Amino acid sequence: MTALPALTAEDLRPLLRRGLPADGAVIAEPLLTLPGVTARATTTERASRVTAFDTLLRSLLARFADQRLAEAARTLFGMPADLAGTTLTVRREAAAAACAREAHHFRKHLEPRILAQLAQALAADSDRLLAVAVSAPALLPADGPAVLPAEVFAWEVAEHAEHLSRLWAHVYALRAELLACQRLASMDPHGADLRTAAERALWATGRLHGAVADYRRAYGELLLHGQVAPDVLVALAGWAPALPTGEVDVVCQHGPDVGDVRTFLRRLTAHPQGRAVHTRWVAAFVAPRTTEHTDQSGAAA
Amino acid sequence: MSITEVTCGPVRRYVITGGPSAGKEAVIEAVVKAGLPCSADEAARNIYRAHRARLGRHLQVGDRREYSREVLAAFVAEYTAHTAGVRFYNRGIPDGYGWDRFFGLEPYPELEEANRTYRYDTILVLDPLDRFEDEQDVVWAKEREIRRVHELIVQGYYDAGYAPVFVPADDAESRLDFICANLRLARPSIEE
Repeated sequence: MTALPALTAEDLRPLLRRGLPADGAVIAEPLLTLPGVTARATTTERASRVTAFDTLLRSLLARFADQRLAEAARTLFGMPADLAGTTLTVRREAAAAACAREAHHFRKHLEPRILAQLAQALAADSDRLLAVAVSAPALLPADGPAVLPAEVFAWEVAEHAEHLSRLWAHVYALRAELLACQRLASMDPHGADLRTAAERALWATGRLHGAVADYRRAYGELLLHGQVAPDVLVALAGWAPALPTGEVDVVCQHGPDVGDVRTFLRRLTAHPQGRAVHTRWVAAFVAPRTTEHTDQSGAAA
Repeated sequence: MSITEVTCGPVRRYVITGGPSAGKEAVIEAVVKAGLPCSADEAARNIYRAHRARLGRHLQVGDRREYSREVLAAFVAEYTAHTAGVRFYNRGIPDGYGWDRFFGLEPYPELEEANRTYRYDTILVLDPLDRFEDEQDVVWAKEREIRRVHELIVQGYYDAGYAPVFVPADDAESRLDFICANLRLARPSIEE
């Protein structure tokens, strides 16, 4: 997750000189990398982020929470049409009048408060729009059934949340199998249970790759509102032997998403390519018996 | 504005929009109940259902543009059908910008053209109800993605050249009062 830059009133002060539209030449770079700005920009180009920042600033001023200062804040930035393009002195005097204060008092005491509140609103907005795609969806306790509004946006948001939940369910399923492999490798590196756990991990890997493919068909090459490909989630489950693309295809072609682990393994190992993937995968987990170990067991003594 | 002007006066088009859980359906219901001309149904709903039924599955990357074009055609038809007096719209053409942005798509030429040609008089954005504790859908409204959709819809209207009026979170009747006061509009059901 990207950390939010700390914003202060001083970050916004340079914007006051010209007011709106926000002048790209004076917008501090950290403001243009805010998640709330990048999420709204149509491209990663600076010009697009400047436009997005200007829009964001306008919408935050239009919804300025402190009603006593709301009109003054909008006036200070030159939002009313008759103040667009006027000097800061003119806007400041009009803003002071809007909240019935003298201009000097306004500049000394209320202007910093407006900028601080605006910086706070920008940070809160960015916190809401922060890309959380590489974190599992947060779970909140529900007091009762959530009422989904009967409208397309809500249906699509819910469907995307379904996709993400399934994707992460498969990530955690693979993680559980890989943890079992680690535990068994420590407890009994030559036991049959480790081999079974490794096979289950291969099955879980295939299921996860299937879910990734489903996601890509529905939403494209990147996780929505994140900058990462869904394939990245595979690596988050834990260490596993690398599967080149061709081998992922072999695993996915043998129906890891249908039936159980036994059916999957039967199908996979019925084909030479699948057998090769299976052998290599299991060998990466199961330590080969050493001569010393054989001697200790007494089998070769 | 008098009741006669509401129904027979100059054409005035007002869009009511916002993210899911902004309480839009309740406000639309209040508008209809007040006797104000309004597109009660959101055209996209039926198109979406039909589109999915035709595909036999959920929408995928390759389907979204075609779906957007169908919805746009419905919005344009709804726009041009109105020829006199006031009308409220349940979402408007620029909602398409927010939809596209949610899915990481660039605006397409037909949307840009429609936005230039068919302009609304006022855009009313309903603020989210996520801090309005009396609403039963507050749990859903707290979902991060719901808020993201809301913000992308707002951004879409700014991109389309509008300066929306934000309607504070409140019960539907109070929001209608706010809207009518803002538009200097008489509520027929009150005047009768």
